[in-house]
Amino acid sequence: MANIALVDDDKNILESVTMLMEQEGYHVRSFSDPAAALTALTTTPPDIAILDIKMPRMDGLELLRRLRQGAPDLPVIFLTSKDEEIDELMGLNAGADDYVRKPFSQRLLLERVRAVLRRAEAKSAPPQPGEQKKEALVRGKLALDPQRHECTWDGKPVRLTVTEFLILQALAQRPGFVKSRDSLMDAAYDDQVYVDDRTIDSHIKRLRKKFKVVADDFDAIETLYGVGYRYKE
Amino acid sequence: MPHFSALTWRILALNALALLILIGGVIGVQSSGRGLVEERLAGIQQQAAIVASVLGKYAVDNQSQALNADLTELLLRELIAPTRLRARIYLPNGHQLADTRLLLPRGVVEVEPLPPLDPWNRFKTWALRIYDGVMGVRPFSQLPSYSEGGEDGRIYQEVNAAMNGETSSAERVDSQNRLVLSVGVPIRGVLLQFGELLVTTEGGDIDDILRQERFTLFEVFLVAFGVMLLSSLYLARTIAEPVRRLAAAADQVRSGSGGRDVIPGFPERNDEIGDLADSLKEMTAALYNRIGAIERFAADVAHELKNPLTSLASAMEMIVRAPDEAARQKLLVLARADVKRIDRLITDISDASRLDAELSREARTEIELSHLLKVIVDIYDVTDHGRGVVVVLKDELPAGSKVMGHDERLGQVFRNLIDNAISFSPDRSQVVITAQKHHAFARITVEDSGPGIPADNLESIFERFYTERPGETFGKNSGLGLSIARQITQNAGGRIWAENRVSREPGKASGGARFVVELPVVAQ
Repeated sequence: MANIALVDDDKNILESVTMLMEQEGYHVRSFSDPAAALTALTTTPPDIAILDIKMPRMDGLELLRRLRQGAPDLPVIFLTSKDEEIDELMGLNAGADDYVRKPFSQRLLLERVRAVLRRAEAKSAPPQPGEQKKEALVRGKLALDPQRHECTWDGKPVRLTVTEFLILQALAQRPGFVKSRDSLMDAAYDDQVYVDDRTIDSHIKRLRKKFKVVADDFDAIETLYGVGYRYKE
Repeated sequence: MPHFSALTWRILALNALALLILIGGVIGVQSSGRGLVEERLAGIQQQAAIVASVLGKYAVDNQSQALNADLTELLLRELIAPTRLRARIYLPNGHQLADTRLLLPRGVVEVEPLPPLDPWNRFKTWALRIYDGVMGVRPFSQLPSYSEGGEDGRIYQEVNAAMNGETSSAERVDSQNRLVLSVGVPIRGVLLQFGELLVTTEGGDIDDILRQERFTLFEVFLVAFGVMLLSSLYLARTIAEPVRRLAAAADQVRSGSGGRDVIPGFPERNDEIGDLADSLKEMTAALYNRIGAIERFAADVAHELKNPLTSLASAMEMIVRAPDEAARQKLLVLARADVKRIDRLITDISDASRLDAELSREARTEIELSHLLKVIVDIYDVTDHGRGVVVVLKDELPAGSKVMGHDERLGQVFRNLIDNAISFSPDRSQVVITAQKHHAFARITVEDSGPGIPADNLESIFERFYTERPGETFGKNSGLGLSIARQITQNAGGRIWAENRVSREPGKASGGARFVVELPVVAQ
């Protein structure tokens, strides 16, 4: 089973999350001090790191930057409690694979860990052409590879978090059909109870931003005020 | 009517009032026309005296010892013609001998002007009358009226007086209310009185001079009024207009429709208006800073509450699927601790958010520092922490040293620092509090023998919600204590900082933490 590194200055969170992950069969190393985590994880890199953002002395972003120096492909999920932190995370293009908002449900965290690990495995595994073709989703310039959680626009790669990928996939599966925020939430979060409507809005905002970087005129995601979102046919 | 602000109107009204008082005063002083009349009378008297003496000498028929009519007329014509006066000569019995009005070629018959008839002229007359009334040109209406005496001069009291050898004068108004001055002088020889000379001004003569003066005054008034109007408007523009703009901007700030920069600046103005604008700008900035601080505080609070909430949620979920009873018990302990943390956070947060308001509301008083410290340390002496940490007070302050502050709040500063020191202290160690005078300040240090503070965190530990705690003290602190201590200290005009004690053991970076509070001493 995979090796998980968990870094959060809140020791109580460490305890219950560690218990959960261990019960799921993962091997967990937890740290409340980012400096200690850096030392230990540089020596033996984990398969995935779950990092809190706001920590004294060294925040999660800094820790990731330093960890990536030794292990550039290290998959990372951030724990955040502020929208501003997410903006910072995305703005810096720190290369987070996903983030989970505090307070989170254990089930969501587990799903994200599995999704990110799957993506990492798919990347390192040799491609299996037959299978990939069957699952790949192509809508005009957009191409989604659900196996690897990879996305391209006009051939250019767009780096999406798992959540963003799931939302985009739900939209692109049925172009022209309106998806309500609720249904998008179900697609991305399953039955996560803590997420509010605005969360979807900010995900969509970030999605558009990421596509605008590779294509100025990106307008494939339409807002239908008061109803939801739709992928343009 | 142009739309002026109330202030503009007031400035205009006050300036106009000042001008009116000035003009009114000048008119008041001049209105009687007394000076002019007296001056004129004196002149006429002099002239009359000269004319009378000349007549008495050269117009007398030597044989009859009476005035010779021809000579009299001749001399009168010569003497009176250059003046604008009318002279009449009466015989001693009061019978008129000569009248220049009948002699002088250019005014053979004086035509009294009749009131004009056409409406325009009538209007002009009325307007003039009103103007005269307002400007006080006609102050003579209460004088006796003048009438033509015809052949008999005795209807004039001056002539009568002159018949008795006296010189006298009179002021009258004619049918058109114009001033007529007259002077009666006896015409005398060495022994005899030959007759009387009556010299009168022509009607309207004096009035014209007065009106001319008044008109000049009126012109001055008009010019002054115009200048006043312009200067008032300028003044209003430089006062009322900026004030109006500032008020409008302040309204915008109040209604929240403006941003931080809606207050207009007047950087070119070094006066009160400029100061007012600057002050308003600063006030708005302070307001926005405070709003920003509240916003950040709210965000921080939400953020801080989410950690124990996350832990609690996680523990709750985990309890359901806990593998065994031991794990379940452990999770229950966690959950309970999280509930406590949330409670402590909420208490401290509400405390901290009240602090600002309390500090600005409550008046600061003089506090005797030694007494305050002793009371606090005494409480720690009788409190058992179960770890044998002793709090020691070394008070070296001069007796009666006082500082300004809120005693309850200053006490909180020291309690927070002592609590903090105890929590980092090893078991059975000392927390030492030292109070000393340092220049104009009382310097209070709180020292522990704990692990000390990492050098790059000496400042950030005073930030709100900064918590970094080793081992089992985790979760017993909200991260607000030091930030609250700093806020109170700064409010009391002092400062607070942290440093590390020099280690006595070789190889150890710190001999413990030292927190220093400096408060200005106001009295001893």
